[in-house]
Amino acid sequence: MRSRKTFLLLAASMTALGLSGIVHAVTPNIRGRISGQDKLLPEVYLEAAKPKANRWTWREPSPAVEAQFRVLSANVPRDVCIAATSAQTAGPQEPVLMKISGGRIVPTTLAVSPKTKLVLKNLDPFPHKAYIVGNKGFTAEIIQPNGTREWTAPDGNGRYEIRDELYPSVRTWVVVDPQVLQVAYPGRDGAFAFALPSGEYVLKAYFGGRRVGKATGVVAKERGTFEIKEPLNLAEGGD
Amino acid sequence: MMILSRAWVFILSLLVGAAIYIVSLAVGQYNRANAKGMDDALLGDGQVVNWALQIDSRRRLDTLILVSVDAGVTKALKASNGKDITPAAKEEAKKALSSFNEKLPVEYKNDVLFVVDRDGRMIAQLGYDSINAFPEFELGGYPAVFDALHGFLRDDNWVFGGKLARVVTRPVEAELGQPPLGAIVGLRWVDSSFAKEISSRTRTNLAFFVQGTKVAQAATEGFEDPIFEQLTASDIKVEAQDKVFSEVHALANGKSGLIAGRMPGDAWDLGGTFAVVRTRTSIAGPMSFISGADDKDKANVKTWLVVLTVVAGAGLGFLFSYLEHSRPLAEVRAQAARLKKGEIDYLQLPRFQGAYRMFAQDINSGIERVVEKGGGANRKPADLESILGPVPAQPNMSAFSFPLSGPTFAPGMQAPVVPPAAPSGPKPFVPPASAPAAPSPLGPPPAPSAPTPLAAPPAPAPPAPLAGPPSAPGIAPPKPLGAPPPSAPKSLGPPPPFNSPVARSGSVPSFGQSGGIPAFEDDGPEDERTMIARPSEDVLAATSGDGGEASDWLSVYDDYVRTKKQCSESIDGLTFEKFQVTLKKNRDALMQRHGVKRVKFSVYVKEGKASLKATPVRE
Repeated sequence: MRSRKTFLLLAASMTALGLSGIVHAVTPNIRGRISGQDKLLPEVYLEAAKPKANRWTWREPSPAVEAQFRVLSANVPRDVCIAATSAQTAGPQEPVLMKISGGRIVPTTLAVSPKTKLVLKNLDPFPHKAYIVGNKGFTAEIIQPNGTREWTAPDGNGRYEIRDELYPSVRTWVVVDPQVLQVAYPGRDGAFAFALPSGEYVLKAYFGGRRVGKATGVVAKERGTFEIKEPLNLAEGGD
Repeated sequence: MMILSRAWVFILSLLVGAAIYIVSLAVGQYNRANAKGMDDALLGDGQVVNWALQIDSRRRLDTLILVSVDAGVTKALKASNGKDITPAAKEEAKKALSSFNEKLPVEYKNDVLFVVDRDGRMIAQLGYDSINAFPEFELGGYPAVFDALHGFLRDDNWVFGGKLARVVTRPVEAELGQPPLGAIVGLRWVDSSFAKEISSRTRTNLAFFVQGTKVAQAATEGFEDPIFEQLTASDIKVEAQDKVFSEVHALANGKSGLIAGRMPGDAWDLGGTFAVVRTRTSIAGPMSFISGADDKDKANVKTWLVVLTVVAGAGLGFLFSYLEHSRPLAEVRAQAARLKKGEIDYLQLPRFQGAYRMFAQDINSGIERVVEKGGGANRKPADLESILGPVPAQPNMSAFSFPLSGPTFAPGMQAPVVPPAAPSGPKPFVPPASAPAAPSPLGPPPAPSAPTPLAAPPAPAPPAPLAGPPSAPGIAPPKPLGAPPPSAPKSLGPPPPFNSPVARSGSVPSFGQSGGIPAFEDDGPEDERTMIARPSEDVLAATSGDGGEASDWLSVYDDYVRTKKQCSESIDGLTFEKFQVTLKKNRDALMQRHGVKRVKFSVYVKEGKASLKATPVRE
């Protein structure tokens, strides 16, 4: 009985995810690119690289890798989030699936509107113990392999950090913004796209739970694609 | 009494006490030094284990270069990056991993190997088949993998699924000028096998923990493994967050010490630690030196020194007790036996020493007292003869005695003799029958009825006439010395010779005879007695060429007069002139006899009467 209920819940969630803005299943009407992503350095890896952090005994550059590539820059598809915000308060988005595996939760930064449901799924063969820092409503609990745990974004603005007691490299941020209508994740090449209802929107980039780059206004039309001429420079502006 | 024996016992007691004190100190010092040594050794052990882990990481990291340049791995990564991972790519990568791992030495073989693409997705794995059911499993979020995907070699320690893993990562680079295609991740589980390898390399007893739970342990031969089971979470806790090692501390059983060290990497925050344990050797007390000694320790003891000390100590003790106890007691026993047999009448004092001589003296005194109570002879103090030995008949110190009544000769003194005018040799003295014989100071007293008669001396030249005629012819019975006839004028003059009728009649003038004075004994009325006057200085100067001697004699004279008064003796007729003439004669005789240059006179009381004592002074 219980497993059937879980199955139905998962099926509904996957359907909702498919309809959400995360998955680009529809034809986008806004396209753009980002730049300066090589300047985005995940904090957790920067800390781990410091000798005083006691995270390693040996850490040295590979002689076979050029220096320009030895930068601990972000993994854009996982670490950078572009949010389309409207002037009006948006309702809750479709449930968002967050994957726990490989020492992180993907995506590592997420912008959602209040009441949006987040589903954390453990894709590792061993348990995880995720929790939201300073949140008594989401304390550390075991998530078994292939298991899930849900959390609904609260009302108002806020920023929430999800960690894992068993894996210190896990650091994911959830930005709750009532104006967030849809989010998109750039590809490795920095390109992103939205399929938004017609109207004017403001695009905001998030990395590591913080705003990066300058907000950019776009106009979505029912037909045609709005091409953002200048890439969103994530190395400038922001919080 | 028994000073040496008692001192020896005291010394032995001191030595025993000192030995106990020193051994007790030694126990404390040994334990303290041993504890410090163990602490230092544990610090060293912890550092050695830490270095061994670092070296292990370095070698594993270096071995990964072989697989990072493997063509199969490169091909599989190129085929997978940005695309779906095909089974062929997986197979090819896994084959490469297997081939690589087989070539490694046993100690550096990886338990698990991963090939991950540039996004951290797992292309292939070796030794971790459980993840086959998790197709979306990836590794890109781990800092070590993230670093490798950005061109760094790195090691790490993971708590991977509850298991402690030693991790090394290396980027896979196909072409220069391009970012890494992916990375190779090698894991070595920290299990008993790994712990044994490290223990064997470092010769330590160690265990690995994750959040207080032991995951592996290994110990050197002879170490008691159960000690690891007694470790508590507090034992392996490293208090300071920024330090690798804890303080060295003793375990609850007190027999072991421990140092804990953190493992770097993700495990640093997850309670990944190792603990090195050493057995602490301590001495519970002085006797533990004996119980804890082995055959080698006992063989190192200088037995000859111990035996020599015991023999010397006992020998000295026996010697002292023999000298101070057994030997004098044997002498007492022997003399007591002789006393019992009658071979001796008194204990022989010279054969005793110390307190035993005092005891013997007391016993001898007791014997004398018993003899006295039984009617035996009373032993008197030694007389001048017994002190000076036999002296010539003239002069004789007994001449200084001035008994006014009773026997002529003082007890213990020879009868006073008158020195001859000419040196015709000493005149024998025949004591009167009634005169008691002087007892010998040592030995049994002679029989009172057996005085030693002196042979009659030859007749000397006739001396100056006495002031008065002898009161009776012959020498027996003797008359008191110095008792002149009542009609005799009180003038100084030489006394009659000893064999003169006066002397023979017993009226031996004592003092003043040589000076030509009559005997002092005066039975007349008190008002007719000659008054004693202080001699004038010219008399002193005339009578003696030596002013110092005359002065001494004057002092002796004064003492003599004072003593006679104190003894209630009459001093009628006694003048310094007479006194000094007698002293001079006696001095000359003693000087001639003993060959001395000076004779010292002193006054003493003998049996209630003033007497003079002459002492030859050898200068």
